[in-house]
Amino acid sequence: MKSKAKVVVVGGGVVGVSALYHLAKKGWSDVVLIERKELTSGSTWHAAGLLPLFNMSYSVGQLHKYAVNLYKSLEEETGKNVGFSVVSNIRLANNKDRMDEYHQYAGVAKTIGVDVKFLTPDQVKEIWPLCHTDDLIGAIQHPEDGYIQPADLTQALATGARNRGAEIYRNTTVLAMKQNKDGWVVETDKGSIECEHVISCSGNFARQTGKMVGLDIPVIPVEHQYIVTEPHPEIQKRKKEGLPEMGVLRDSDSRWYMREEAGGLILGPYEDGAPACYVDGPSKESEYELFQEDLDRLAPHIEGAIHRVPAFGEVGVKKVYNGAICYTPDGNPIVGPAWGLKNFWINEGHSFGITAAGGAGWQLAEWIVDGEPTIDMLGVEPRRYGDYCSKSYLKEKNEEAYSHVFITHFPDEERPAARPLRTAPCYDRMKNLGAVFGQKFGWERPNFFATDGMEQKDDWSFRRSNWFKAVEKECKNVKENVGLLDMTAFAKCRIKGPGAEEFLDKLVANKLPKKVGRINLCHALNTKGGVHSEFTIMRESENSFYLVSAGAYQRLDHDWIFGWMPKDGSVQFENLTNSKGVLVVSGPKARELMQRVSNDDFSNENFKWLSAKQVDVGFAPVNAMRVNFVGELGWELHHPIEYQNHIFDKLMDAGQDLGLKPYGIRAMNSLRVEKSYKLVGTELSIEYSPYESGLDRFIHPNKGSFIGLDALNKWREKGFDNKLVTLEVHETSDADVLGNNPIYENGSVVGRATGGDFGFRLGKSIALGMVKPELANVGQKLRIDILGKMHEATILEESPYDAENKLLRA
Amino acid sequence: MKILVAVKRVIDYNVQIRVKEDGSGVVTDNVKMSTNPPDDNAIEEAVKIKESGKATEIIAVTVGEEKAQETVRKALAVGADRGIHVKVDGIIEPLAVSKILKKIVEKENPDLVFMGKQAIDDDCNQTGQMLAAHLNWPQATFASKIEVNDQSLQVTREVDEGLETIEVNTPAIVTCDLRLNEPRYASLPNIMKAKKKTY
Ligand SMILES: Cc1cc2nc3c(=O)[nH]c(=O)nc-3n(C[C@H](O)[C@H](O)[C@H](O)COP(=O)(O)OP(=O)(O)OC[C@H]3O[C@@H](n4cnc5c(N)ncnc54)[C@H](O)[C@@H]3O)c2cc1C
Repeated sequence: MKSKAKVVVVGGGVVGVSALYHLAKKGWSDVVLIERKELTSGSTWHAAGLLPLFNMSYSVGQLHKYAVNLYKSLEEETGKNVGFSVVSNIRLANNKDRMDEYHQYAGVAKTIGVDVKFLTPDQVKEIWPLCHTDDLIGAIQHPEDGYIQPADLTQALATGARNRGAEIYRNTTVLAMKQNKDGWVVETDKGSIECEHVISCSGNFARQTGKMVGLDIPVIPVEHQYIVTEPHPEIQKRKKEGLPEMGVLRDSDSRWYMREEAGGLILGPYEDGAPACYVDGPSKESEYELFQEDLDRLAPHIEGAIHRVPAFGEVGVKKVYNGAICYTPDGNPIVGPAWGLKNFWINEGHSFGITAAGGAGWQLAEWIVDGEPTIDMLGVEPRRYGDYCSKSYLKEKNEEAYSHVFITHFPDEERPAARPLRTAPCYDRMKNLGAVFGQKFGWERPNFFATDGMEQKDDWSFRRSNWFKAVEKECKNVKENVGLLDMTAFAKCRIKGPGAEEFLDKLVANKLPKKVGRINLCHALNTKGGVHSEFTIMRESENSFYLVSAGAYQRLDHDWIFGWMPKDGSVQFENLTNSKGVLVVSGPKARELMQRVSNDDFSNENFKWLSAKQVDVGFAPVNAMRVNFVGELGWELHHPIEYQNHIFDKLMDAGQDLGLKPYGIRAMNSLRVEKSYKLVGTELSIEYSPYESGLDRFIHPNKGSFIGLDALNKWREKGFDNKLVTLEVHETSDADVLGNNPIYENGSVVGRATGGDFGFRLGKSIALGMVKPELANVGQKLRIDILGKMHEATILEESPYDAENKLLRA
Repeated sequence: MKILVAVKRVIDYNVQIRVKEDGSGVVTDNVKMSTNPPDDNAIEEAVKIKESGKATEIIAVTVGEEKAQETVRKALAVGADRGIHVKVDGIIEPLAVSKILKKIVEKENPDLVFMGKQAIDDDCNQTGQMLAAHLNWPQATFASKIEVNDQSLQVTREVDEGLETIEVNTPAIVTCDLRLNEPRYASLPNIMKAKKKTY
């Protein structure tokens, strides 16, 4: 065994071996993989080998697409057959919501270049004669999809890696890992290896591996079963006649996948009640492990399968596999850097690991070797979780994620398990006012308010649903009177010290606020010039800054700061997220409201837009910041969290006759879209330069050096491929743009919508989208696909509501 | 003719057996279990005999813990008519099992008792022989072929030297070899039906 290497990969399942392969392919040949038993002896060997391209997420979708293409080329490269059967994949629909889901997904597929087709029930019958289609309304097909032999795939990747100099040590267990000056010392039962980087790909052992370096990795596996039948005469007959395999069949509404296997069938259901397993890790000896089958749990799905494909019930069951499949609370894997640790990388929590291994290894190699990934990885970002992910939370949430694999993925879905968990002090008050909550980063946040006898319950849909009316009321009240929004979930921190200004100036592309009490919106670019994070920065004093960013990205944003911060003590970082609450008042009557609850001066002369003051509200100390995300006069009231209800009550009492009403996140989204305000994760991403996202006025390339500047300059010389525009979508009746909708001109795709909503102040359906720069002209007519229906759209002036910000400055 | 078939629940033959950390036995918690493979041959043979019209009833019996009933249900799914589960906690050895089976035989009066030649967990290979002794019945062990005649069976046995064919009068005990037949797989509708059966 080597005693030194550039990278050590821990774990020899398909995921680890793919990471090793991609590092070697990227030219890092001095890399090793350590596997405690044999390659694939964890979860990989018993996988059903399906490669589903279907994924509602833009980033995961791209990883899967890459993988399928790679796997097709592996045999030619390595001489090893990977058993890739491109048999296509059909997903059935028996209700309208399901068809909406497929149309929304088809948008994602088209924008990332994955081929999909819609089929009628008769077309399904043609391809799958054994399938009962009478009660179907349609289906979506991936012609390029299929299945692979997971162990053969792993061996081919291993060969590809070894051919490029990588080494694999089997029957060797990683026991401990310690940070040293430049990297890590990995201790195994066969000796130690010094290395620069470690990648954790330990599958069901993720939490145990994490513990070695003090990380709580939010992964717990869940049991998954599939049933293999003996050959069926009909299928054998088809084979004899030389007919093609019928392909992978997924009955989403009965929640299972099915495919041919050696003349018989495989059925894999995603049932309710599948228990988490290996909660405290597998045993030390565990290898090629299978659990006791439990068919009772699968009964409704078996019945559904026999209804759909009667042949499935006509032959005997040869074998039932029950194995561990890793899960995370949202069901997506965890791929990227660990928080708080240098050069420690996580590639864990893969529930579709055969499919995702290729793309995950590819992007990790980019990230490690070149410093940044090349596609937006937010959907799989390790830092999308926080320390609220306790073991019992994970158990509950991961079981939920498993049973949700085949649910209809509504865009406004809010999953119920393990809630409420983190609540702002005003939670009960909001609830009494009719709040219907959603969850972000563990926090409960009002999504909208059920009033006037409306049931206090969510209503998920791809189209305008019950809450549309409620949101309309909230938006109009913000426009006409004043609204109150709880934004306690915001990520907040303080950066201070003699080096604070210099450090922050290097971190962000905008100029820092010069005067104490001033506020600037600032963007941190990554080293390739894409947009990584957005911060509202307020200067508290000469050497102290208060930073606010999206609640969902607390760990990501703070880790980004932490990673770049000088370690010489000249700068201190203080996380204020949990100690500060935020209530937002916005609307034309916001000033009058503030004057009623405070003795401080809220006049326009003495409290300008984009400034902040320490004030009293009632008896409570408040940092009032005159900014907001909805485009009306207003203040964000940041306060020590224990005063929240005092402030809340004062505002509600004083605001009664001003028409003060609470509003929620969904109203906020409608309001922000009318202002063309951007969000990280949709309009802002590392895949887009700030210029493409329309952040020009926040970027100061001449202010001096900052992270990403050189790359940004080069990018600009090369030219940009996209431009963010705001569009009016015409003739909408019951649905608006949800994001990822393809945008067309003359029949070809020229861009994708990043977000959208109905704008109640404008009375228009609005979309934000990235289009080719040459088309980004006001008045340009384009077409946009909403749930399979083409709509005319016209590019509007940026910020179609109050373009001059008169209301904000009033 | 009535055939009683004894079946046992064992750790699945694919599972890598692990010894408990305290050395007190092997790990069985959430480990995949299934019917002892030659017991499947025993059931299969009984079902075939019934299908040929020579038997009228098949009773599957198991001795073991609560979950051992899964083995009986599996037998029901492939064609056994009735099941008997003698509940016993902990480990039970061939002598005790054979005594329990003797009592059941006295109650049920079968013409034949089939079982696997040995269990793959303890490899004892004793229960059939002991039961024959307790009942004072003829026995044919390691059967790889069975022909049913009026009052007797002609059984081909797998022995070290090759094959031996013997004739035994019924009632008799037969322990079955893996080469006896190709056990059928139960279909899901039958498995699900068997799960709901009370016995
Ligand atoms: C029944 C079933 C069907 C499935 N079907 C599909 C499917 O059709 N399509 C699909 O995409 N996915 C499927 N999956 C999921 C798929 O199996 C997993 O996502 C995938 O195998 C995960 O691979 P991995 O490399 O992350 O984990 P593993 O294969 O478990 O590999 C992790 C490895 O790390 C090693 N390791 C851990 N700790 C250490 C240490 N300290 N030192 C050294 N080595 C260590 C382990 O020994 C193990 O070999 C299925 C899963 C199940 C259970």
